[in-house]
Amino acid sequence: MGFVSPLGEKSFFAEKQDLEEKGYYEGKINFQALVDYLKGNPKFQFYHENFISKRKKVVPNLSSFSTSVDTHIPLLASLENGEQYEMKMEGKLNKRIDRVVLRQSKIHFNFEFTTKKETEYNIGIKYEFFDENAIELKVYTYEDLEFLTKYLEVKIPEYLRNEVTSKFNVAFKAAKSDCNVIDNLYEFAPDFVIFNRNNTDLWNDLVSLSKCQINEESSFFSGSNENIAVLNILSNFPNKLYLFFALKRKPKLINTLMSKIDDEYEQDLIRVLCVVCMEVWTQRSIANAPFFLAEDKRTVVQKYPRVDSFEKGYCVIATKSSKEELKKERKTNFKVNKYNEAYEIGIVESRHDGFNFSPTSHSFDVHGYANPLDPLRTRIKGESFYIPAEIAFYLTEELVSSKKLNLLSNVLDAYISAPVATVSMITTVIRSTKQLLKNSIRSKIARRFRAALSKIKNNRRSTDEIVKKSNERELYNKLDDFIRDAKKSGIGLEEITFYDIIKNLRGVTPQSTKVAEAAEKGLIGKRIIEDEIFEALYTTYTKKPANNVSAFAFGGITYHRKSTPFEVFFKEFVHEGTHILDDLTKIAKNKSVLLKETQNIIHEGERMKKYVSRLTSDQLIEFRARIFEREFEIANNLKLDFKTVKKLVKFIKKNY
Amino acid sequence: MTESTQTLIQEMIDFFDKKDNVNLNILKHAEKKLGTLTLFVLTRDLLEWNNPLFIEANNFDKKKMSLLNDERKEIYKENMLILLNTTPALSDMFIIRNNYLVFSDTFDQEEINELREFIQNNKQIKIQSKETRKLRS
Repeated sequence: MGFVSPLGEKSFFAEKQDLEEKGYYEGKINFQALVDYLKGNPKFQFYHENFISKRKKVVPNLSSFSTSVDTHIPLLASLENGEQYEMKMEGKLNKRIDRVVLRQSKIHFNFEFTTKKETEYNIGIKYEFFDENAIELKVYTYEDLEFLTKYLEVKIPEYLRNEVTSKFNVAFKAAKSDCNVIDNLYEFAPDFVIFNRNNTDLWNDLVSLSKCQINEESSFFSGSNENIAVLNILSNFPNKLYLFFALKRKPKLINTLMSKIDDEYEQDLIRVLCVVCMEVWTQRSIANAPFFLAEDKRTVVQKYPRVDSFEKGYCVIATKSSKEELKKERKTNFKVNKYNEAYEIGIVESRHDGFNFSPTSHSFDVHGYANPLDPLRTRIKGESFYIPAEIAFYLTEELVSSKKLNLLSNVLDAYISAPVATVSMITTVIRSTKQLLKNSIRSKIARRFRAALSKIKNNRRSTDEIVKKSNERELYNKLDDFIRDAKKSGIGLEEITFYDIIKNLRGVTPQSTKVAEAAEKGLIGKRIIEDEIFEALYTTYTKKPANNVSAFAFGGITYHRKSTPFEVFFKEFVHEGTHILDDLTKIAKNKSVLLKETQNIIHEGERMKKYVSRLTSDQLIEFRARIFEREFEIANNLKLDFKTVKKLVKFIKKNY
Repeated sequence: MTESTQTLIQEMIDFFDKKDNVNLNILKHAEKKLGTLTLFVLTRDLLEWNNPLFIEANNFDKKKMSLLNDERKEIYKENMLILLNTTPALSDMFIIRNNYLVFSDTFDQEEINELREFIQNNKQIKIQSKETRKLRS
């Protein structure tokens, strides 16, 4: 209320007071009280004075006297395990006294980058009847925004997610993989932003980051934490299969990341890499994994003097046997663990291109070779765990120190579903987080650390799920799993990658494996196109209608309708891939070879000779594609195009 | 389009259609370095990317061909580089810029159009199809 002049106009003083009443309080706020009040009172008269912080903090100054300053009373946010942390927030409160309703339509969100490419999320809560913010809040990470909105029982609107994605995409584009810029972007990017990025871009950015320093504060001014940036990329990589094969092609990257990343993040890195591999390893590869003896080098050398040197690219493994058996064989290089299991000691050599060492100085046996991403089994607290060989090589690279073994033990502890191990690890992390939070200078780092913490928990959960899934998985139902997952996640056929195809074809039937390998080498390409375009293209070149054509191949490329169901797509890829392989291997060009090769096919235990002897070349070519497709249908328990081979032959004779 | 470009493209088409039943001249060094199958893949992709019908069907970027994606790995880019280095007539037309193959600055739009028209008119397309869909009512 202001003073009104006799002329009905506001006096200078009245206007000033109005301005003050309508202005914002920008001092220290009791965020805990404010947020709790908002949560408990969806409709209320807003008095900003109720939320002014009265807390004082004593700070030492240069004189011998201390001074006290006002401080915010922070909102205590809870982690999933019940632990709490003080959320970093800023805000301002409108001095106007009026009604506020906590309704989704009255809350506006926006997102901004700071000049240092850090993130700010603003939340404005409007008055019920004025287009003016009563409360303005600012948080600095998407994780905090999620906590706050969940606490207030409001939703983060889609437009904010779009705004965040779009601003990050622009920033990523401008950054051009410059590691000094993308480190900050990846550190602060919400999971969905990274998840929606292209696999190739993510990989290139990861490689770029690996070429720079990876630590908490690479420069005093930027203060970026590349550890989190690297972990964020790895843990949110949309296509783990892509990542797996990319790492397989460039295994040195794992070693580079392991040696560059700060010690306290090493276990997270190992865990994330294990998660990636767990998604790809088959039941068979896990069953055949060599045993990695995670033991202090000094202990091994003391016990077995002949094991005198550990070189880069080797790790110590042990072959399980019984004590009696090993003694009978006069073996000396063995040990008995506390579970009374006897192990013969040896090494596994890396197939890593860069590690071509010959074990001249070793007198112990080379038990085998492992590719960098092959699984090795190890045992902690009586439980078996699987780690990529490259990690084992890394751990034995320098000296298998107690520190490194503790690290591995911590990581693998987190794998164990037993809650004791899990909780103890989380508590350690939280303890460090709290310590960091107490240090005001490093509060920014603490915030990022906390953000990483939430991801660690998610990763652990997914690891447990993946281990379980991997154990349950049978070779022949992996296509079922893929189709179910793909349908659930709503991806379209055009989003299927080559890795998906290779994964679902390799090892199912001999022919589908051949097709997968040819696709991996680039000999078979694939195109998924709109049905109308598919038909137009087909008709242009064949002058025939395409209504009944479901897929075609030419010149090493398979063409598929976009409307093709997933379960049909894979078998058609085997069919069309067979045509391409027959073309490349020239089987199709030589009738006698074509006939012989086709007669020798054994399908459902029966030689195909009796069905194909009278077929023409074109019919033989089609028979091969269809019989191998049928083999794949049977292996995957898919619906058969033809109930019997006889019916298949009848169809071919009629149509080709 | 120059005569030498036309000869090169015709050789690529012949090689692609007949594989090793063709005596290579311009591409012989590339074949020696890369092997028949790798040359087949690169030729296939170059001819497809420059066939107007397939550009439309696949919604290809007319100006650049990606050398690195989920189908094409780092080795693909390296092989493409070998192909260009061993085939001067081809490196007059294309250059590699970042992870893309693009037309060289000396190869103008008119020549690009002629090249693509030539490929469309001369490249045989022999389709093998799987016909099992039920006819639409």
